[in-house]
Amino acid sequence: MRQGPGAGGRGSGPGRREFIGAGLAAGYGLATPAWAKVRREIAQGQWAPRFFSAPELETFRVLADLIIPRDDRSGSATEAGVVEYADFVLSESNDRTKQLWRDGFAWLDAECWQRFGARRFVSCTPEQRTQVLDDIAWPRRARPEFREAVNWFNRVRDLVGGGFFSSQMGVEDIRYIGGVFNPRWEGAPPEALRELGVSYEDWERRY
Amino acid sequence: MSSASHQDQYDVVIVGSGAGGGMAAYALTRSGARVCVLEAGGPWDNATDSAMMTWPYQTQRRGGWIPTRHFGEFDACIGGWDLEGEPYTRAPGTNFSWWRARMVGGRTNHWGRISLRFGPDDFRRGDLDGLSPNWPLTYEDIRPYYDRLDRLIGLFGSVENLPNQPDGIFLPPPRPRAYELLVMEASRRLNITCVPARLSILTRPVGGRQACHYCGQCNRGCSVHANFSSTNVLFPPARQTGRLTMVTGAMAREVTTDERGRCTGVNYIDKATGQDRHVRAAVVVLAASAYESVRILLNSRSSRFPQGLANSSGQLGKWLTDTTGTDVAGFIPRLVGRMRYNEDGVGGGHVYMPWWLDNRRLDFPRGYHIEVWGGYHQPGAGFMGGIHRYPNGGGYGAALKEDYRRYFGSTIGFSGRGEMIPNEHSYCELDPEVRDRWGIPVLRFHWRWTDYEYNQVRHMQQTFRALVEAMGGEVFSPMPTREQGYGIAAGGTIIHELGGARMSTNPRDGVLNQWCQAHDVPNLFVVDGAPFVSQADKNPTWTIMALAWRACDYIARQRRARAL
Repeated sequence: MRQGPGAGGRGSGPGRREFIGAGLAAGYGLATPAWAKVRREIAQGQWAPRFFSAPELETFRVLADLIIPRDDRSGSATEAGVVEYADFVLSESNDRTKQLWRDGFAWLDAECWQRFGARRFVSCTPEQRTQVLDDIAWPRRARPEFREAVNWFNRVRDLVGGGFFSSQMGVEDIRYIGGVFNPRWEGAPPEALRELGVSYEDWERRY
Repeated sequence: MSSASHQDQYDVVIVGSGAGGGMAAYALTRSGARVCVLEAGGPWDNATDSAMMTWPYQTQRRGGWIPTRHFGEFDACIGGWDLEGEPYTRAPGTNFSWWRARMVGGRTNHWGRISLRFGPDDFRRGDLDGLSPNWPLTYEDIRPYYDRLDRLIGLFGSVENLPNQPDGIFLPPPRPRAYELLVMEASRRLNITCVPARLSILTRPVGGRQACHYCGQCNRGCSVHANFSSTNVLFPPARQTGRLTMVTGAMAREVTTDERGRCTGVNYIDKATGQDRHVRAAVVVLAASAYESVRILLNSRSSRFPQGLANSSGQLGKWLTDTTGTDVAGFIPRLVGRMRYNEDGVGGGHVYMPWWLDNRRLDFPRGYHIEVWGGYHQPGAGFMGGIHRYPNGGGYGAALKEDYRRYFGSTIGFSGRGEMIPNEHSYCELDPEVRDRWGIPVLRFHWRWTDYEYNQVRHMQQTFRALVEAMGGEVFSPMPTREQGYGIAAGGTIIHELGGARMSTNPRDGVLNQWCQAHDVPNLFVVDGAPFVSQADKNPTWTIMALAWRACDYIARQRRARAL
């Protein structure tokens, strides 16, 4: 009965299982009291984090907008509500996942102190921030001593990028145009077929 | 749902409401029997309970994992590999996980709707390779029931006349998605048969149910009943007979018997109150899922049946199998930055590859089929996770944001689903110590793959990699090694567990006869995955239902002849 990682809605690509494997624990039904509370807090401008400490929150806001900045097509990660989303998801994650995140934030600040004598990542100059991220943001060319930091940043990138593009702003940006009643399925439009150099000719002959 | 009135004597009590239980309830109520269905979970109605058309951004988890919904919070199926208060144990060295659904409709609320018939060879493997016994029935015996299922439920597909892949009575198949045409082209070049999928999703209205609207969200439960689930298709007509009583929150403990050794009904726990209750019936039909039914029988011990009910052969709990599985996904440069269109389609692949090779020329004895996935899909939790594995290798900032846009929909993946050979090391028994929250002894599993499965999964990996290459793509992960089991999915994780109460001609070799009737107890039947003698390179649901319907016709005939 299980389909591949593309179960049902044909999944969310190769990383989906990784995400599931992160083991987000403790949840309820769709409209949980916890979620209703978050929404109320956001609406009233009284939102407070459940997972992030105050310094971590500050760091995550900066990181999130470095990862997904505003451009001429859409807003930034923080503008799309990624901070509140990530905080809620992490607050429900298992202890191991929580610790990985906290260790990552701690590493980032320690690295900035060692390299630049900066008190924290957020107190670094933009150039210094970029310098640190450049060492951990490209797994294939990262030096071995950064392995753990690279793994942490992969998680950060996935949660921020996935969080942004699954927000309403992100769905519009990436132009996903499904999720609607489509009473007539005619397959791909001719232009989409031409682009790929394929056609329905064989199919129509046979079926 | 109503609860049973316990003064009542039913003609039949059915444990479970999934594919087998739903089919039995449909067939038996319509044959005139008064039927009580015991379901361990709660009620479910896709018309009101489905999350169809909910956007992931409408929830704080964006459709992600929750403990009661391992496939994401929108998935219709309530259940999982770990249920609170309902443990199971594993013998040392066993890697097996047991999926249990707890709701009306059972696992028919969660599946790919892949509705394949077993083929003639699948019923006579004893003659062909001798690695598992023949079934006590043939394809010709079961074929009329497959035909009836096709007409009652409806499925799309195409007539192909392929060996051992019997055609059905099909609705027209939907056109492939653009990327699926690439897959068909690559398959042709590699001489792999690739044909329209066979899914129980309506491309034309059937029996008052409307046709699909192609939102790709079948797994959430179709609120207009355009796909198959027991709740969508089998229970409404059963209810209309006025002869169906559905008891939810009813956890079956044991089958009760009289001094003659015949069943008298089922003891269950009313989960709301924790109280023990009893339903009396002339016939007991177990459809609790393969291993839950085995567990009930093992727990139905008495001085007359010291090893459990219907177990004089000692075969109860033996010969467990699950479908083998492994996945490979790749990045396909030709799909980068392509035109956007609504690619949702039905909830599943529009094409698939049935087994196309001859095992006599291979180092594994049984086949597999291939499922295809990829392309554009609704962004939700985990969307495009692992983007650092795409060519640009990660990064951040404006370039990364653009990568998400360009790479969206440029992945294609393959899942192999193959036949495991039953072996004596894969079985279950009662754990001598552990009990569940109601004090019911739990199952302890033993599981072992053999080289038959490992070699087959290696072949899957090689084939999928060749397919990705043939499309000019790059595979995301290296070929798994022998030590990694070639990437074989753990036992139970494909959720096609079968066997445990297999059918046999000779009562010494199995638990049930060809009518799914216990050799030892004439008014006891098992109609889920437990009766299966062997797997096949096909998903089991259609065969579970065909066997169940056939068994229920037999029950109806026996009742008319006053033999039950």
